[in-house]
Amino acid sequence: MRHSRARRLLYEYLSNELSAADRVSVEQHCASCERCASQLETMRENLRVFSRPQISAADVQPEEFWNAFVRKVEASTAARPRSTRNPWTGLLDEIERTIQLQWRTIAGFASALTLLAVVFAVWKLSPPAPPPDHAGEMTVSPDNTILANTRVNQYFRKSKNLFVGLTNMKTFEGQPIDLTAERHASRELIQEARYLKQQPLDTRSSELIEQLERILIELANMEQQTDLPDVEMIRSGIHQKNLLFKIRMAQALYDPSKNKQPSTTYERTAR
Amino acid sequence: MTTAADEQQLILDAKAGSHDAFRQLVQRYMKQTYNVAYGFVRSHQSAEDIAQEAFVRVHASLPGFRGNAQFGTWLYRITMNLALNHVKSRNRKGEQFVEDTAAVHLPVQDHREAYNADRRFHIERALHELPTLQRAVVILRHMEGLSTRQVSQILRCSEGTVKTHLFRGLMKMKRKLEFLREEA
Repeated sequence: MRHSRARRLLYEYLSNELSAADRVSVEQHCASCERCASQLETMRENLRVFSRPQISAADVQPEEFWNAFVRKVEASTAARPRSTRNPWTGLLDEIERTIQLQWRTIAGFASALTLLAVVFAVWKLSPPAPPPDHAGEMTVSPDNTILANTRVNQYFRKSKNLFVGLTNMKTFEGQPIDLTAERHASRELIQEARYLKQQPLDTRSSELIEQLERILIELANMEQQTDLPDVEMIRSGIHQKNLLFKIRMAQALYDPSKNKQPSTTYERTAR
Repeated sequence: MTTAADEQQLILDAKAGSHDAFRQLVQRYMKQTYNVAYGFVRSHQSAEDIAQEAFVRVHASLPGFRGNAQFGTWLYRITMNLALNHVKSRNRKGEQFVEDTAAVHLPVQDHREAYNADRRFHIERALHELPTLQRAVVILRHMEGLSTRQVSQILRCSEGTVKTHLFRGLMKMKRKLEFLREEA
């Protein structure tokens, strides 16, 4: 059984909600994985202190209370009658939806054909284009491009520093961890990511920014004084997605100190 | 014997206007609905009002219920929203929340019963101090025993999020209730 799956099944294991096969798998995994064994013990301890109460709030109420409850609900529903539906309404709705759908489909096809015809006509009737002027193709000014590239690079560098710091942070079981600085940094990076997502970046960088954002949001939402399992969860997220490696690769692409800039935002847009 | 097919039939009948079918649905779900509401508001009177209102709203919206979600999931979601609104309005109005200590002051038959009542009181108080989402997960998953999938549908989040909040919530509860173990 994989580590991530075993971790997700610890509560079910302790609540006896697992099949026999899954129980054995969890036990086998915990025998070989110290982290899961420790987490299982922590959770067992939690449940020992806070076991499911044998008597619920509803059990305190006598039988007469529940009879009165049903009567009150019935009285309220009678006083507030619901809108009665004609049995044919459902069928009519369905027919209406079908007709609307068909009309939409036909209208969509007609619009697409018209658009194609217009594009074709414009292409046929327009004079031959002059030879491409490199300067004329610019849609984004190089200054803006350089600025965007610098900000992407800074974003990756700051994210890397934050994650490396978090990964190397010394933590001790049972001691609260102060994440004030990390939360602050992650909030700033989330803001920055919003700007970067509007820039014309390559697919891989955009995906990486989204992956980083997910971890950063988790971090930003943590409490100031958190405990080891929460930090471990963030660390495992960074590790599982191989984020530090991906950041290093992306940095190579956007590092302005390198002479060779493989593809600037400007070039990518122009292409 | 109650099965999913029975329930499906009851829902269809209730949609068609059968009072008897709706009564059976109320009887089937009233205690759990009450418990969910009580978990949030910690007042028997408010829990009763909220549970009743939830059923009234379900009754009104039943004709539009398409069965995409389970009936229970739908009902608990309505209950939870009503309970959270109730707590919000109570906080906004600055009403002094009076703890429902009736259970603690009931005439107790023996020592064990007194201990259980006291324990429940402390658990409820610790639960009330959890952040909203953690409280919701602990109530629905741990106290009411709903499945992780059901809870994720009620809260409209992933199953992983449910598990994370459950773990964190239980950790906090443990810290707050450590003294109970020592007493025991």
